[in-house]
Amino acid sequence: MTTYRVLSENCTLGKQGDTVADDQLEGINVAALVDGGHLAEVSVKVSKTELKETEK
Amino acid sequence: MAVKVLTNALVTINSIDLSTKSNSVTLNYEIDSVEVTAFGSSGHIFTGGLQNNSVEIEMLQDFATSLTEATIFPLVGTTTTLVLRADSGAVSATNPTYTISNAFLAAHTPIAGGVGELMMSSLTFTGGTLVKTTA
Repeated sequence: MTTYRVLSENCTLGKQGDTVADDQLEGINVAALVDGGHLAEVSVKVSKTELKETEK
Repeated sequence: MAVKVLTNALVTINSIDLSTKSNSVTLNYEIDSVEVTAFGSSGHIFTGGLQNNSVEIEMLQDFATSLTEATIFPLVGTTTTLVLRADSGAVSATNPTYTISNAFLAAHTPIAGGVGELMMSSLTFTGGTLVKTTA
């Protein structure tokens, strides 16, 4: 699941700084919002413990 | 019955509120008429087919962050969702919301106008499915 941060004040998906998940974006052209500077994809940090588990 | 003067319409394009950057909006709700006339009929008979909607919006061009150009330019050639209301206030039976999903934007004019004129972009969204809600 991809998460996005709201960057613009006039975005109705949430307040500036809020995060929205892609399952909340049905019917929305996400690429256009990212391109237009309204949303930014939130990078997911993978913890070391998670890494170890996947490496097993 | 109260008449309505349009002064504070809500225009949301791809979830971005561009009401303050538009000064005209027209929603055309249409259903295709499909002919079902058969032998024996004395006149044409039609039934309802697919929705054939369009939305025309006059946009004030603005190159500032997150406004007209930033929102509209990436949408050309794609589909999106529009949300329109006669008044930006709360949704009610007397202020319904019209949501058009999968509306296609074919063209945008980033630069248009003559000397001394306001730069505008006339947008026409076509197709999609319209849903009206009152709550």
